[in-house]
Amino acid sequence: MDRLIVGVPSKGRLMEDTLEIFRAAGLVIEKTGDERGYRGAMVGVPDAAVEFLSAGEIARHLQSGRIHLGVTGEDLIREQIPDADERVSCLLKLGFGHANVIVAVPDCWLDVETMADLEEAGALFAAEHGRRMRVATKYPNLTRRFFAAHGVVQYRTVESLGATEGAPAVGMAEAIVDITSTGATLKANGLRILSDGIILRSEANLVASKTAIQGAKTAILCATITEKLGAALHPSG
Amino acid sequence: MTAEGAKEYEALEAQASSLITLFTSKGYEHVAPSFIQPASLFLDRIGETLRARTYVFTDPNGEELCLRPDLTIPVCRVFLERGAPEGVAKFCYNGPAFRVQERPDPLSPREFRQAGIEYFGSGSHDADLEVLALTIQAVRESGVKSFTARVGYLGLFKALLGGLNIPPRWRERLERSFWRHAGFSRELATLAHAKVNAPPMPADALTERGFLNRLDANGIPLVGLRRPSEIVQRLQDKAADAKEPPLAPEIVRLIENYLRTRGDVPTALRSLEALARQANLDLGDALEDARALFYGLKALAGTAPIVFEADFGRHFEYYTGMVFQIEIDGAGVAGQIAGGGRYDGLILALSHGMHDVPAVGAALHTERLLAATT
Repeated sequence: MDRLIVGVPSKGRLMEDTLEIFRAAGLVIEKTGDERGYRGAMVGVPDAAVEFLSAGEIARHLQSGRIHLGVTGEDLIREQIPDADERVSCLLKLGFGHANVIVAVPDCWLDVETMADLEEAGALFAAEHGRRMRVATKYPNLTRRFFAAHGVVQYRTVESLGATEGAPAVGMAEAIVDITSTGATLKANGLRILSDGIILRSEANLVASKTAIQGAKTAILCATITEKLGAALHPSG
Repeated sequence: MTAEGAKEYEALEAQASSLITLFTSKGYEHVAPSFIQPASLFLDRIGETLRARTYVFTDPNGEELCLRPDLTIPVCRVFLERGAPEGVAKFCYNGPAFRVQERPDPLSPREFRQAGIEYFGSGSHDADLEVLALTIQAVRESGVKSFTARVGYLGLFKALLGGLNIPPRWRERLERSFWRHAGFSRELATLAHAKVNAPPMPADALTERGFLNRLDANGIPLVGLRRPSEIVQRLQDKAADAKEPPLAPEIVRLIENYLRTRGDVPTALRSLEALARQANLDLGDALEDARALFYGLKALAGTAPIVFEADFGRHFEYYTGMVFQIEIDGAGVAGQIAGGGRYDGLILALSHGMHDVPAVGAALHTERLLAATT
C-alpha cells in the first residue's frame, strides 16, 4: 500500500490552526471512525492517511520515517532530532504557533545582560557555591548547542517539564531556557530575557521526512499538498 | 562494540590482561569500580558536553543513576571511599564505559573499553613523567611500532598570563576560554579592543544598599541563590573594567606567539626561552618548573617521539597541568589510542572540599589499540 501518512497535532490551538490552513488549501481533514479516535482522512484524497499525534510525537515519527509529512513546531524539530537537516526538511512556515525559545535569568542579576555575562557569572557561581549554576529547561539539546556556541560551560541543565518559569523563584534553578510568546509570565516570575538570549524564533512548520519510504505516488501527493498549502498561505504569489 | 565475535573478545581480554599485568608490576593496584554510578556526582563535574553523551536513568527506587561514561571519576571514588589515605596511591583498571553516540560506528561505539592508571597524592613532574612513560611502555608492549606523543603544559600558559601586565579578571577570562579555540581568539580580540568597556550600571547600584534600593524602586524581586554581595561585586568589577585600557598589542602578539610554539622538546624549550627573553618577561619559578618537565621529557624522548604543543590540552576541561595524547601518525581519530594528564582539582571537588589531593592519570582506548596491532 503506497499511502502518504500525514501527522497532524491532536489537540488545542495548534490542531485548530492546522485543520484551518488545510481547509483553506482545499484539503478538508475529517476524523474517521470514533470522534475520540486518532485517525483521519482527507476528503477526496484517498491516498492520504491522517494521524492525530502530539507535536512531540510528530517530530519523532518524522525522524524515524514512520510518517511522511507532519505539522509541528521548529523548536521540537531542532530539539528532538540531533541531525535534523539530514532527517527532515522544513517545507513551509505556516504562520501560527509562534514561540521564541529564550534564555532568561533573574531580573535582579543587574550585572548579567548578555550570554558573555552569563559565562562569567556561571564561572564565579561555581567557584563561590561549589556547584554549577542550574538551567531549568525541557530543551536540553537546544540549550547545550546555544550555550556551547557562546562559550558558556559552567552550568548544568535540570529537566523541567512544566512551570519552568517558576523554577528560579522556588530555588530549583538559577536560570531557564523556555518558550515564551508574551513575556508576561517571565516578568511575573522575576525573570528577564538576555539581550542576545534568543535561541530560536519558532513557529509551526510543514515538515517532510527524508527517511520515510517514498513511492512515486506518495512523492507526487506530497508535492501537491505542499503546493496547495503554499498557495493558501500566499494567495497572490 | 555492537556484538563482538568470540575471537575479538578473547583478543581484547588477552590484551587487557597483559596491560593489567604491566601496570600491577609497576605498583599500580588493580581496582574494578561499579559500572552503575550515582548520576549527580557526574552531572555536577563532567560538564554538559559529556553529560549529553551519558546514559542517565532513574531506577524504580527513584535514584538517579548513570552508566559510567569514563573510569576516572569512578576510580577517584574508590580512592575517596578508602578515606583518601595520606601518601601516594596508584590504581589501574580495565573495563567497559558507555557513551551516547549520534551515529555509533566501530571507531566510536556506545560501549567501549578503557584501561588506564591513576596516580594520587603527588603533584610533582616525576609523577607526570612516570604516568607518561608507563603509558608509552603499554602502547609499545601492545605492539604499536610507530606513534607520537603530543604533550602540552597548562601550568606554563597560566604562568605566562601571570607574568603579563593584565588585570586579574581578564587573566581569568583568558584562562577560562583556553578550552575553546574560537572562543579564545574572540576573547583576546574583545580585550584588545576594549569592547568590555560599556559601563553596565549607573553608579547608584555599586553598593549593596544602592543595589537593594534600586531593586525596590523598580519592583524587582530577589530571586535565586546568587547573593546581592556577589552581584554587586561583579557590577563593581565591570565598572572597573570600563576604566582599563585595552590589552597592549605586544601582549596580544606574545600570547599568540606562545600558543603557536611547537616542536620536539629541545626546540620547543629554546623557543619558549627566547620568547620570554625577547619580551623581557619574568616568569619567575615557572620557567624553572617547565624546564624540569622538559628535561624529563627529553630523557623520555629517547624511547618515543615526543612533540610539545603549547596550545595542546584544549577540550579536556578538568586537566590542570601536563596533558598528553598518544597518536598513530596519520590515522585520525582511530589513531588516538591513549591520553591523559594532571587533574589536581578533581578530588577536591568530588570530596566537597574535604581532600585536596593532586592526581595524574592516563587511559588507553583498547579497541583502537587492538585494531592498530592486528
